[in-house]
Amino acid sequence: MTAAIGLRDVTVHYGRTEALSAFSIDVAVGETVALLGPSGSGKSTALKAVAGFLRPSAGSVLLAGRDVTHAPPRERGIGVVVQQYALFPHMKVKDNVAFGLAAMGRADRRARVAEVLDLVGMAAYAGRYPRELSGGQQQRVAIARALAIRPPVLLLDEPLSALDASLRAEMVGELQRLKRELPDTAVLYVTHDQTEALALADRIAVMRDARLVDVDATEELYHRPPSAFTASFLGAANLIPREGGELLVVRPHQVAVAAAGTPGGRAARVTGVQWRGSTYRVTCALDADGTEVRADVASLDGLPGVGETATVLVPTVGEGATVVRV
Amino acid sequence: MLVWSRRGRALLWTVFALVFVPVVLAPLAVLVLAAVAGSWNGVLPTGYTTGHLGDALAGEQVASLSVSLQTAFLAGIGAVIVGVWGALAVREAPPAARRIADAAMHLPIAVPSVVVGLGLLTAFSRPPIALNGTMWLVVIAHFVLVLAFAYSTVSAALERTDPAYAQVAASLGASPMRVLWRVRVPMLMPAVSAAASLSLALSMGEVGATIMVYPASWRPLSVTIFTLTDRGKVFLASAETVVLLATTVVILVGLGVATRRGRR
Amino acid sequence: MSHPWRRTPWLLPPLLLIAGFFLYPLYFVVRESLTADSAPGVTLATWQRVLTSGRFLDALGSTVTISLAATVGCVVLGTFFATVLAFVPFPGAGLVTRLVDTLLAFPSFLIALAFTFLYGSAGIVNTALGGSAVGDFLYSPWCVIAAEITFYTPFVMRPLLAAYSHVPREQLDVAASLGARPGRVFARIVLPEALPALAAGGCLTLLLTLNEFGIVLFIGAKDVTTLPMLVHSYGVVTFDLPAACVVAVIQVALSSALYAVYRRTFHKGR
Repeated sequence: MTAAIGLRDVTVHYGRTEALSAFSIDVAVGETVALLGPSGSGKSTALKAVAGFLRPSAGSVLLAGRDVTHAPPRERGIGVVVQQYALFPHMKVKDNVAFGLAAMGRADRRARVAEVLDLVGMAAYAGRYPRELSGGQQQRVAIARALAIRPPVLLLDEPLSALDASLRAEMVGELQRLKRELPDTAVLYVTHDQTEALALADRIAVMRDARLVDVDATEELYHRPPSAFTASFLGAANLIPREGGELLVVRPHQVAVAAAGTPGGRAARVTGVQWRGSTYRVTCALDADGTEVRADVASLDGLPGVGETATVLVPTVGEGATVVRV
Repeated sequence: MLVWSRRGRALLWTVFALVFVPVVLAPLAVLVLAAVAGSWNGVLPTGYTTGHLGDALAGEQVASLSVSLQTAFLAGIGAVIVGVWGALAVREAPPAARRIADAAMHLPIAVPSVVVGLGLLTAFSRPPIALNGTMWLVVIAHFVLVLAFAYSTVSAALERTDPAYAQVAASLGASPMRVLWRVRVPMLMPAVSAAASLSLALSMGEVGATIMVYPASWRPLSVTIFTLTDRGKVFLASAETVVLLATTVVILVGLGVATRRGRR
Repeated sequence: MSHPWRRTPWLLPPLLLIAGFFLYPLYFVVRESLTADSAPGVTLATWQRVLTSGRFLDALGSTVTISLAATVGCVVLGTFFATVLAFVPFPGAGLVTRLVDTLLAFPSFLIALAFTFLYGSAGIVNTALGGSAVGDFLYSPWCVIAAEITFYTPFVMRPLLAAYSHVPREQLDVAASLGARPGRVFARIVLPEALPALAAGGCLTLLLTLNEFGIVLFIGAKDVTTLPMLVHSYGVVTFDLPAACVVAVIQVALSSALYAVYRRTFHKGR
């Protein structure tokens, strides 16, 4: 089956800087792919190349097999939600949503607007102006506006980054529901937040310095990261050096901390403790080479304090840790 | 981006060039050409000379340039000081006084310069204050006309300044005067420089009020240029205009550089 | 709070200067307009003489027509220029923007002077097109209108460019991806957000063109007299000071009314 989105060696330059370097990826019909990476990694650039907001200096962009590399955005029929939503401030919610439906008859348009506003739970706000809405509500309207044109492809550029933490969690749930209701829509989801990517994506593409680092199914990538960068960016893993130039990948919740001298562990010194509500994150420095190891523990009872010596207990490869090459 | 297709953009840019060049660029270019034209019988000058520019920088003309510069400096410095003072005072005044004072400071923008000149001529040609026939009437006219612009520039900048800076300074124990001198006025310096530039430029080119009040002993360059034009000496007038513009630009660039140095 | 600037007396020095050098002279203009050589004391004789003269009515008519036409021209051209510079920028657009900003500080008469070379009877256009292609254009009201459009277009562009800089580029991108053509994006997204700035720029241009003097003076067309020109010619050419003052009072009333509208409309938000 032809992929809904196909990027083939797409390279983008901003002046002299290469913002995206020979980037290739396919997104299948109905699939959600997250582009995950730190800021400046090229993930937004890739999305803009798909939307047509910028023109690649090399490579090609395919939509359902059709080459649209040089087509203007209005001929691509893609739904786009940008970071700050870009709702048109002088138009009411319903007019924002209807903007892409100019070719429709009046009755059809009104029905479609009502339908998508209902889909995002904003039907009651059709007559409001964007400035009268909260951030989360504006977000929903922006999604409704993008979905109104029934796009086969939906692009989301850091859609939750402007929201506060609790609202973000709620919107992740909302997006999961939308995904179930739109089983045929291909979604490209750009984010720097691994929890969003883990919750929403079927596959994750990790990016760094304008390049693709790794791409794989979400669980596979999390549990068996192929590279040190992916391991640390996805799930904040500890990377502990082993013999033979390898790194042991261990998630913080797999690490235990015990009193100094406990057998089977590594000698270390506690350098910090952060209370995170449900757990404590204890940071230790290994005596052997100073490597920093983070552990999430439920209780501090009987554990050494900051500045004291301790023992760090790390699982082996057989017990859930994985290994990557440096 | 508004226009996405290459053809659309090329078309738009062509139209832009076709309108912008004759409407805005051509008059400026023609003026500069005229300043160096020896004779002009064809589409372009048939010969070039630096004679007009030389004449423009000699004798009567250079005296006139010096009159313009002195007037611009006196009026400009006065307008900047009063403008900054006014902007600060208006900002701190109670709302009712603030509205009235702001309108009063802006008022001269609304009145044609010729009328400002006529007013000064009628008011100060008789006792108790008879200034007619002196340079002061010219300087006052320019001061009144550029004050509104200087005030407007500074007060707009003041409007944009975050009051937090002054509040932090005050919370650190600085007296209001110290806050004013060490925090508020320095932060306004770019606007003050802009106000000074605008005042100078406007004063250098002022004709309306000047032509109503200037005495024979104090004839600014703009009036001289008009007299030359009126007598048909258009090439010399053009050269004179180029000199006026060049002088203005040099001063403005100098002011800009000085401001940037001062901020470092 | 014992904040010295809070005290209104600080307002007095600048306001006294405005009163002394601006309002006091205006008062004399009004007083002078109520005198006449023919009759002693306060009289409306000069008002009557001026208001019924064909010269005044002509000047009033051409002042209003010229400034309206020039304003329309400036709004149309200024919108086009600003839109291209902001949203379809070409290499060098920044330079053009700076040139336009510089024009704002130049004297208006330089445009008039340039026009004599361009459109005079032996000017470039006539020479290039042969004979008298543009005829008496230089001495017609059209020439004054054209010169004012050239000079005042930047006054429309500046507020417009400032307003454009607040329009997020993402809005244009999203509108395009929703299938809108450039024309529709401009009409539905760009223009509504820039309309207040455009109205403010247009209003200011109307005011400044009503008051324009340098351009008309330098072109020196005998048939084109505007109110400021009339003030000048009564005042210092024929030395009919009372008549000059009558015209001045009318001009001030006209301009101040327009300025009041401008302030009322565009300063409310502050």
